[in-house]
Amino acid sequence: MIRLVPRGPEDSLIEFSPRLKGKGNPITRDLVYGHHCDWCGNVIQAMFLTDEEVRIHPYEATKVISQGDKNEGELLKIVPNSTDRASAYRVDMYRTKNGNAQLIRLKNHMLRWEGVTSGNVDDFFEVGERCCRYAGIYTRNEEEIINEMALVCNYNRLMVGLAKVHIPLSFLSEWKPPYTWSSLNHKLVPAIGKGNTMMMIARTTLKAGVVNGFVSLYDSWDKKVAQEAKEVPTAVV
Amino acid sequence: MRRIRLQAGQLPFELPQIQDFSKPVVELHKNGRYLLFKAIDIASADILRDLMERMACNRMRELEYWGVKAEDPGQPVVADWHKVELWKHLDGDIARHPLCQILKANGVEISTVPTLENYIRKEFGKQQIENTPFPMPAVSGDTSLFQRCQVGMNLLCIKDFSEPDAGGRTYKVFEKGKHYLVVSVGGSGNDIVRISTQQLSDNLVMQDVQGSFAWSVFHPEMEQHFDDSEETDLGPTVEEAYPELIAMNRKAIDKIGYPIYDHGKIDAAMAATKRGFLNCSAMRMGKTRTSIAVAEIWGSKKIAILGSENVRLVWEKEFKKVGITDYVMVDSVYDLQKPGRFYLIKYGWARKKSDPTDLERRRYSNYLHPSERVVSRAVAWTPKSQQITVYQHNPCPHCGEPMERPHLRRDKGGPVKLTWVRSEGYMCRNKKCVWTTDNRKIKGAAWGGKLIQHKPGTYVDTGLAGHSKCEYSAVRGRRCNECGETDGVWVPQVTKRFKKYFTVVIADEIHHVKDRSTQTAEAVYRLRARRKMGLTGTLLSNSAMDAYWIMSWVIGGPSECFPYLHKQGMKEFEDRFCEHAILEKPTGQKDEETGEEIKKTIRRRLPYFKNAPDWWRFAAPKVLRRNYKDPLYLKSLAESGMQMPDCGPPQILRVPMTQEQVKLMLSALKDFKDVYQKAMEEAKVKNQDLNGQFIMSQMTAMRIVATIPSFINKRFDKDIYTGIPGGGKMYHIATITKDRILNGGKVVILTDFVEMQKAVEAELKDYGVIRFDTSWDIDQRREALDRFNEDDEIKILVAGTRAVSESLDFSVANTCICCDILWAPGDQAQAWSRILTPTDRERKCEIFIVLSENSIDEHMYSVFYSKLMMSEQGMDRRSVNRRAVEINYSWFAERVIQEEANLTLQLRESDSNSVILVDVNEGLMEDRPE
Repeated sequence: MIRLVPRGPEDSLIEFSPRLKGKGNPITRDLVYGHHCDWCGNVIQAMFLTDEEVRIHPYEATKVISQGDKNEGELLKIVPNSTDRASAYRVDMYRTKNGNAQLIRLKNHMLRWEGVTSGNVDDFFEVGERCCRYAGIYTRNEEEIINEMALVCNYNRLMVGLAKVHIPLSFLSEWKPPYTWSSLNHKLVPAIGKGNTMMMIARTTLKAGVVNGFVSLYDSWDKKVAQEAKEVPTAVV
Repeated sequence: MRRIRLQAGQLPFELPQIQDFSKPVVELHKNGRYLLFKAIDIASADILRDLMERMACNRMRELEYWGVKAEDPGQPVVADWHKVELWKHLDGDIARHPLCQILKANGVEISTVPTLENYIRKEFGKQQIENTPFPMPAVSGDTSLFQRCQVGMNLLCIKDFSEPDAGGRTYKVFEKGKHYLVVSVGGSGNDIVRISTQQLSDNLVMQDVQGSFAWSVFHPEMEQHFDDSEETDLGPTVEEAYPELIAMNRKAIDKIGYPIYDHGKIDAAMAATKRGFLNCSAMRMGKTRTSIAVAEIWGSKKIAILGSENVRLVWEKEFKKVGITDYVMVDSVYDLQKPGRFYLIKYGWARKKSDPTDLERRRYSNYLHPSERVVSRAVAWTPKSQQITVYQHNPCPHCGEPMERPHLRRDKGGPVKLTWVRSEGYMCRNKKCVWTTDNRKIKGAAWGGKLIQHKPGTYVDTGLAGHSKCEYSAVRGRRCNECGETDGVWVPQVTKRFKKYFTVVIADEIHHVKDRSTQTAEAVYRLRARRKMGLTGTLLSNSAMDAYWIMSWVIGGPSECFPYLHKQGMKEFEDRFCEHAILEKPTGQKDEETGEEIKKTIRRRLPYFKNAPDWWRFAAPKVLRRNYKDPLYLKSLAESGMQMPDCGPPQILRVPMTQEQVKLMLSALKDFKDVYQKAMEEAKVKNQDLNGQFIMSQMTAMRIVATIPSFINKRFDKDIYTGIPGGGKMYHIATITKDRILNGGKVVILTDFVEMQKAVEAELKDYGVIRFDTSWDIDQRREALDRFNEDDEIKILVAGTRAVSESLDFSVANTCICCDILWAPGDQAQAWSRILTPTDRERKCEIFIVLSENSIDEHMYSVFYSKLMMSEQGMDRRSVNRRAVEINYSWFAERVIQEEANLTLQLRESDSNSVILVDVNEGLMEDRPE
């Protein structure tokens, strides 16, 4: 099992406990940042300090959740197992002058940027099994996250003025979504450690219904900005 | 050579440094020819990884997305962080690269590591020198500006030009001091140059007819209004830009003390500043000695000199003349271990390799071939093809019968049956196959000293037996990776053993390796060295593409002065420099709806340059060229008491063929037409292009008839031709030769046909003839050449055009007669230039090209002339008449068809025996229709 232990921005940890007894020792590492998905119960991504690469295969127990209309949210299986031996994580090792770190990311739980260029929804995901109904975008600048999500959803109005409009993440809580936009369509995942919030969007939303959501979001933002501009007292000469 | 190093701070730009140490930092490293972005802390590593992934998104590649204002709107957008080529950023601030700017926008500091910093500092200076042009004086021509104008040319207005408008008022069309662009040339039936009336600026919109001025032959005064000299201004030369370096090199040359011409000294001093260059000075201008001087200045300890057998002789002679003794003639790999500085290597030896089964392997008929193979074959008279399975059995090496192998088969429920199959067979079961093993020379072993007679039908190929169970996909090249069996003994090219042995490689007569696919080219291009030099007098024979691989090897790349890499760069190079003709060709298929024949467009390369000034600017930094009219060359010759022979352009003798020869030519022409039409039909059926090589090979018969018709008898083993062996040409060749000998001269006669050489030898045997035989070894060649040069009794040298096309000195002869011409003018020019060596006496030389009238010779000359002009255009900056550049294919085809009628007419008249002398300037090219 891979588990994130939240202890504040500086002291958070990542724990690796072996899936099977006697197959590896438990490991604990200092976490830089990490995200955990409440829906599927997996660690989406985690960057932790380590000099030697941690082989996650003995510790990994990724839950695969069904995404059908009738049985959505049911646990289908846990990988790796005797038939599916491949890991569901992509591992990057950072070796630098000033320290080493390892980044693990759950494949198909993070969107790929290839999809934006090709316009093909399948290009957002890697070939293989998709473990959760959500896929997320992580950016270092929280102000950009809504714009990036709009970019992923090919929202054309934003493509034009993308560099100019920055909707803060906090605005999402004020926003009243339209009736076509379900509360399950997007999800915010706070970071554990020193990272930013990750925004996740349902896979089905990528295919349809996203435009209405974003039109509403940007219109609400425009109204708010216009309202604030009115409220600013102007000096009358 | 002492290198002048640029001191710190001498760069005209600043390298990126860390400004804020609290931010994450990415360092720039040199990774081969690429730039490596390396994070030095975890935060920057994470940002770098994230950005690399984001570059898959087109929108994110744009600087605007990251809030960065692009300095240059046309800046290329680079997506791959691993493919940032360093050479492209040597001349500017590397931090201006879009990726660096994106990193900065993401709060990352950029710094350069000392290794990269030092490299840029060093390389920047070197590239400056490499990009500085050699002097490239233009050959003065009388071609008018109107004739020189080409599309895209930038013209400077030097005098205001005004014209009346519709209302009768004059308005200024072109203003003095401003630049205008040529937008089109030519036109339907009229020769018109259209110049855009809008002055050149960054945002110029090309206007073809509406916004342009039509300059025709009715505006001769326009010549006074424009100037194109800026177009061909190549900037300061090496001598002007780096006087201190040149002075230092000159000092070094003087110290060496070799006798070198003045122009050779300057050339050597300039060339030594570069890492690689091509010395393309005209033939007999002292290139060899200049190269020795350059190698001396470079201070190299191991120098390889590659050349043909004749070239080696000349180099040896030169070494003896300048007093160099530490040279080695390399004939085996052991010779490379001998102490020496200069290693003379033959092309023939360097390219040696042995792969006996190569051809069989390509034909799928080698030892390890698959037992069955599916091939597609064209169905006769239809554009379709069908799939056929070809069974290939292994033959017994003793009787040739297909070998077999046992195959155990069990039908459902039945007993196991043994059958013998031929597929992948390895046993010979022929009862009559008798084979022996001769062990009589083997002594000591138990089986030695015997001649073993084996029983018939018992031969087993153990190698194939092992291989019989392998998949064919396991066969890679000559070896099966599954069983380890090989199809033959392979000896790799000898250059593999010494490819890194030399610090300098000099490839003499480098035009021999213009085709990358040849074994010689493979051998030469494998040699690596810090400095490379190529010598040739005829760099361009067919088109600009001849120079591509030569430059690619000598200059190396990609770099600023040669931004092309291997095969990928070929296309870009061709598009930039080569002119193409777009032809429409019928495909043999008809459109179902309209019933019209479908035509396909074919792009043919022409010999001329697309944009000659662009080529001159590109070639000037790499190509060192002097021609016979170069003032410095003439001056240095005069100073050393030598003179260039007085020689005009080659004279064309169009001689009529004899009656019998004409008859033979007619039948050869008919045969050719039949073959040509058949080939055309076949090509149509197969939906393929016409095989040019095949058509050329079919023209050989016509070439033979035009030059040496008696050779036809030998070829067909019949007495078809009973006239004079040399046909109509022989009389004129003999007359000119005898005349020149009576006037006390010697004559060199060149022909590509050995039979013609023999015929000429027989015809002129009373005048002292030597026939240069290519089968002679070094000593025989040396002796024959010495005899021709020193013996007064020997007056004539008959040789093959390609056999003497390089490095030899026939300055005792004043006349050269070319009995026929080659397709490649470079080789022909090399051959006749052998008599043009400067000497200490005044000489008048003549070069004759003898062509049979109304024959293939004339067409060959047409191609020959256009290639010759292209070579002069490229190498000597000769302005070429626009009309000459346009090649009219239909004209060429019509001329070939007309020959038959002309020959028939000649046969009827048959009274003309006069020779027609054509001046080269009024050559056949000028006959073309406008």
